[in-house]
Amino acid sequence: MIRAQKVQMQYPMPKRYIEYITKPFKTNYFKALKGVDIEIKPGDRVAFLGVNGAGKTTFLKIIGGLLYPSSGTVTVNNYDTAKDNLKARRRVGFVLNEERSFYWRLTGKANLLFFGALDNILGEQLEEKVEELISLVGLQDFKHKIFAGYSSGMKQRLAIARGLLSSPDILILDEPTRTLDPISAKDIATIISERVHADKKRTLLIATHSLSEAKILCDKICFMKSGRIHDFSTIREIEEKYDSLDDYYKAMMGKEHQLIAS
Amino acid sequence: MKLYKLKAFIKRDFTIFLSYKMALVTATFGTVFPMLSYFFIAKLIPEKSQESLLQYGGDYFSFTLIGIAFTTYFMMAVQEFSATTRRDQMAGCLEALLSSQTDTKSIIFMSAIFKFIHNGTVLIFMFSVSALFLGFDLSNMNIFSTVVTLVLSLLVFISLGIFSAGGTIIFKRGEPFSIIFGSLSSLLGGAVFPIAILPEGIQVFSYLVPITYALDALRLSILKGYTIAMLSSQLIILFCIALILFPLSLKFFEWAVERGKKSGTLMQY
Repeated sequence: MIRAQKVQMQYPMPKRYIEYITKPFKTNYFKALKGVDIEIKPGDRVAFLGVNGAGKTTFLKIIGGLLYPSSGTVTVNNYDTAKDNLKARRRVGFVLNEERSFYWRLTGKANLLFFGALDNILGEQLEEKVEELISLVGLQDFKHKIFAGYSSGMKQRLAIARGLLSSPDILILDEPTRTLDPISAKDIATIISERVHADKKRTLLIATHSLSEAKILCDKICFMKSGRIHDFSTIREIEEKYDSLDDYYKAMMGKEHQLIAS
Repeated sequence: MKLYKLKAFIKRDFTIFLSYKMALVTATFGTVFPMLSYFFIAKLIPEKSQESLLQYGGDYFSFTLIGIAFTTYFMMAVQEFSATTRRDQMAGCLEALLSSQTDTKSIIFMSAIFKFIHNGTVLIFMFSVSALFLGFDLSNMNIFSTVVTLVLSLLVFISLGIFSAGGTIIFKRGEPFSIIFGSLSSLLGGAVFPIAILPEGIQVFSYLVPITYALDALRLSILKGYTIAMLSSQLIILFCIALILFPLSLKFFEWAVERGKKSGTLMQY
């Protein structure tokens, strides 16, 4: 269970040159989240939609314990992600969209063995888990190849395997298909829907810009806009109200969408 | 800190180190040439000609070898935690490490451990080559007091290193700790000359940097076989500095990480 209450997050912003002289001690802030409240139940599959800068990644990083909120609280299975950071993190697997987040001179398998040890898995159990995940994401033939030689799709598969190492209750995927071609993106979506979510108890949180991906992978949509949750509905509810997810997206964007379209 | 995690970090860094074949060669043999330079410079200073060297046995080469080898090792301890934090930030791995189920302090410690082992091996290599071919005399060495001095000194410099890593998280570049205790230490601590030859006004500052006590105790225990009791004044000072700095540095580092997570700047570089 994930519970967020009045979550705000502000980042320090670079000053304009003149401000370094006129206001040397003043720090400018950008409010990435402006009071987010949400409750996500175990087993929910939630797609976080919204334009760049809407606050999706920031919110997911707070759930994953990588950032602490400026104010408000987020709890994961009743553990506060800021105060009980390590305990909260034990329930969460994070699939980063950063291709560089692996060691390029190690093989795919060596990378997983290393991160698995950090996730408190050891000995034969670690070896078995890594082999199981390599096979789950379809990298058996490339496990001894160094990471530097992986394609973007293979890197993303390995990132999913890493996110699953600790068998987390909650798996967070931050734009998992952002850098992929349509075929690789479809492969990744298939892996997530058919293999990763075979365990129906696992909560999936996915930040994405792809509406089709959201529809295939998730049963709920959390629409974020300007640091706030604009809408949180099941896909069934959305389909009852709108003709398509495209229409829903346009309606949520409102005037901003008209501006972009024009 | 768990042993299997430590093993995983060492294995990771050893594999990466071996994959850079040229670095393997230069890291080992690169130490020989400066050592030879000091060996020949020492020929210009006849043995026992300098009064300030006499308390260490009078041989300038042995004096300098210990000074250079341990100053390099201690500076590595000061800089490595910060360097590894910055390397992981820039490589993009820091976020992945911090999203694992290992606490941040352990990650920073274990990320630096291989460098300690590697540089320690290089130090032993330097001493062995010097003892075998360059007349470096280890026959008087008191192993126990050398080890105790080394452990206490490392605690002090590791504390400074943790301060430095915290500084890197806050300032990103130009954190002050490694600069203050890096370049200044080799001058004030007397890595290549006895501090007795410094002008009196500057000597006062020498007694403010921990490396002065560390090098003094190491030279006396290695070259003259001083016991723990004979080194008590230097060791008490090192112990007191470590006692204050070590817990403070851990608190500072925790605060820096928390601040970085709260302001969202932890992964920035």
